[in-house]
Amino acid sequence: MNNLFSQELKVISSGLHDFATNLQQEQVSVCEVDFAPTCNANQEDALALAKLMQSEKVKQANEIAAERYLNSNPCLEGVAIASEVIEGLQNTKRILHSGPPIAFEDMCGPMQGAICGAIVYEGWASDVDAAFELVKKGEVVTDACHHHSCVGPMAGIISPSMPVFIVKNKEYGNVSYSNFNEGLGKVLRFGANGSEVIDRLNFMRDVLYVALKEALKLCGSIEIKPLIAQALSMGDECHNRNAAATGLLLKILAPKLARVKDGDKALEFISANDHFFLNISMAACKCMLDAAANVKNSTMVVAMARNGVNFGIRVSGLADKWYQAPANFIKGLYFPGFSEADANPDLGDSAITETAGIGGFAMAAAPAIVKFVGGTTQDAVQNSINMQEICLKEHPSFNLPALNFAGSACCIDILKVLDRNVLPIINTGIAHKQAGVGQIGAGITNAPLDCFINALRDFKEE
Amino acid sequence: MGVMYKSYKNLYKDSVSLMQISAALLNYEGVLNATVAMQTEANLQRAQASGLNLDLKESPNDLLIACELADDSNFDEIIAFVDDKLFAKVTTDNTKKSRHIGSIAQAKEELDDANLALISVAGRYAIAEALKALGQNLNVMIFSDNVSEDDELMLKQEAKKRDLLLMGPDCGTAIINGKPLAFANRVNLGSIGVIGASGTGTQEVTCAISNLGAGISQAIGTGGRDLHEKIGAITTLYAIDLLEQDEKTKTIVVISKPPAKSIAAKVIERLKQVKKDVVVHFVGNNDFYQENNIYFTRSLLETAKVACDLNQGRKISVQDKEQINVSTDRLLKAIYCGGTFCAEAQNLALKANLKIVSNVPIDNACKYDGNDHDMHAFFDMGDDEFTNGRPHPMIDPFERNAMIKKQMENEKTAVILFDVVLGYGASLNPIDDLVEIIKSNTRSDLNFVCNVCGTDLDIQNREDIINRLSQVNVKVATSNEQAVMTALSLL
Repeated sequence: MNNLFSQELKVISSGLHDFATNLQQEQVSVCEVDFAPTCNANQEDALALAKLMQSEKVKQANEIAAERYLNSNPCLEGVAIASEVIEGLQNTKRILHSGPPIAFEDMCGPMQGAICGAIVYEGWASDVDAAFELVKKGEVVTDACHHHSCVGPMAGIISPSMPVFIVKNKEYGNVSYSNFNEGLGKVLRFGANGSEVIDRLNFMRDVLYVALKEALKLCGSIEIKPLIAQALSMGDECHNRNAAATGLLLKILAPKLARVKDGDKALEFISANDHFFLNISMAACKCMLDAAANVKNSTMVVAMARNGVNFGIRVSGLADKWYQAPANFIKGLYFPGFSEADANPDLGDSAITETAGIGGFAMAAAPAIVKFVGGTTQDAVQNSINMQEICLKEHPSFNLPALNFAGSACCIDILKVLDRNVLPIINTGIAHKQAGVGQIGAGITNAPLDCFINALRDFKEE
Repeated sequence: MGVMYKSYKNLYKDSVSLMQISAALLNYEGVLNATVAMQTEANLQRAQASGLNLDLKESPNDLLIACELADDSNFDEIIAFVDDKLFAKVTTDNTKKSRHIGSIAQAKEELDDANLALISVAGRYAIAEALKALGQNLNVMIFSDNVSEDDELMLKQEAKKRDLLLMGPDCGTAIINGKPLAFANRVNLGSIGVIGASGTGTQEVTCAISNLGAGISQAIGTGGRDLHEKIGAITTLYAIDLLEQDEKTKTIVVISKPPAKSIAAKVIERLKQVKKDVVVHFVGNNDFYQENNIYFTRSLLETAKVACDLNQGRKISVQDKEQINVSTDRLLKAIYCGGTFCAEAQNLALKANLKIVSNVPIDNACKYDGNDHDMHAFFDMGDDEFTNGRPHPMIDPFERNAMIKKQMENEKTAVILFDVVLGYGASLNPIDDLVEIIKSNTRSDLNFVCNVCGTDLDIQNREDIINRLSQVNVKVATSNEQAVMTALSLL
């Protein structure tokens, strides 16, 4: 039987401030809720949210999904040419891109430019204009990386003859792939598609890939989670800063690369790019989150990705559907000569890192880049603390020294996002809206609320 | 003024810091374009591309400030501005921001032994919030109104399933474990447990009990519709269970506006099984009688008196009601904050054979249509019709005062009857403006009668309020019933 009358009254007050004050005057412990309407103040959605929050089935399903994510053991198994391992790139002129799927004519400039560049790279067209015609005629088709177990930063272009990393989940057997990071300057992922871009892609396939393939054979399987964990304690958040992780990977690769043909060139290439590890980090995150996908009744987010027009999320209990909203612009710092007016909206699959509890969620780990978020290390710590509000777990091995080695918040729950009105934070680079200009800054943004509301509307407890 | 630049030798700053300074510089008055960066080949090219023509060689260890300036700007000033930022002393802020609590789940994490949620958000949001509170294993009081009866039923069923108390929606008052919730008075504590389906009715009874020298163990609000057919008294029956088992409660009082007959019968049946004295008052009941352990009363004041007598082991003394018959052209205008008071007053007026009009009519009272047609009028100023988007008149008496002023201007008005409700939640200065309005009266044939609902323990202090009203010749009664009878006798 309810024993309220034999307990000391302790009150949670939501609404009129005076009511809380009055109780405090009577020496009652009160915790006041600073209430704001949830779900964009839509009453039906708010009620559906409250009902799902009551569900034991949802709680249990989330526990299963989170455990699968946490138990995952992604390992770098080697490299391959994309068409050798990705079925969707075999016997079809198909090009993969970042974010939720989108028709070519609706894509942002950098993505269109990058796709045309990849067509030239594949030799399906002699120049960019011809490539444009091909894809408009439907002779080259496009699809989302995520539909083919892939992820790629920014435009996220993967075409059949590009080399990819193979990351396998040793616990559950699923595999994911990512392209190689090109480094800075004129690069395909920002939509550049001139000859220097194609030359670099050719080098990556003909020289870097071959050397890496041999070296990785000598290395054997490389566990990625320990690398991420170590890098977090060395100032990386493994999305916008990968300097430590790239160094750690290089430490493993260097002795082997030193023994293989063109190993020197590979070493030079990797050493010149602090973000070399990013694509491996992304593939590992995808690998861990795919293991948590398709758990019936789970409200855990298993992917967040942007195509430069829309932001999409996938939710474990909602099969492979995307829930989308217009991608946000990024609050950040711009390189000299550029401003917000030049910026493309949020772009790339790299938000898979935040989905996995690193990147913006681990901002406290990376004081070197906190100025992108507008200031102090305290703000960075606060961002990481805020993300605990919307997550089911704290990661047991992704520890954040600045939070007294608390685990980074992971396993985003759409119900918590909506109930607490706290949106996932994403660290990201800013692409110029015109193809080929490249990166013009970096900063932070949020996943749009409407993605989560749309997912909620589709969610039916079974 | 054109492009100006300055280099600092061997000064390294990370690019992010420099981008911040560049951004600040671009906002500086008179700066048309600017960069603050390490003097690398790439940065020089970027500067060139952005329109800053600099004939400089790369020198990666040097820091470059370059800007294009409007004619009237001062480069030295700008350098000073940049220097301030480049060489600013870093302050570390170690104060941890306190957590923002935006949801009930977060509040429960903060106060993990909380046992009651008081919800007073707008009605359309209250349903979801109440459901979340139940999910956190909290008893719930919903102050908010505008919740549909279907939603009320859903919430009450959910609460029952979870063995939790759900008070409301539209529950204006409660006293739990001696603590006043929402609109509640500070009363003496004791062993009378009150279950009220009406806010001001509960306030009147708890205050009267306290003023009569007895005390309250618990006052549980059920919301005004709990005894409707559809809801089936879920909260009332649950509250009876709680008070039956509560050792500190010796006497139980149940108050409600007129209930659905079948539901009233169900409640009475349940009360008959309780081995404690029970006083039941359904507003509109005109007979005092006893059935087993249950005493049925005719007014809020009588309810309090009988409960006190039973509680303190005295012989029950009830007075026979005198029948007043009023037939006159002089009009009574009753202007209430408390809905239950308004209902009780109408009942007494109808018994005196008055033809009356009200915005919340009972029995055969006429419905107010914006005009009181020279009838005796009974206004519930807390009804949506009159609040005009302002807070309830108990919180903000503006509309109530305006109505009193309006009725004073009607020559046929002989008596203005009103209530002043004290306690937590109510206005801290409930009569300041009203006293001035009453002072302005010049008619000797216009009477003011008032009931002050409250106790001397309340912040507004009942005695003080009564004194101030008496000074402007308001006849202050000790209960709503008495106030109505006084008003009728003055017609």
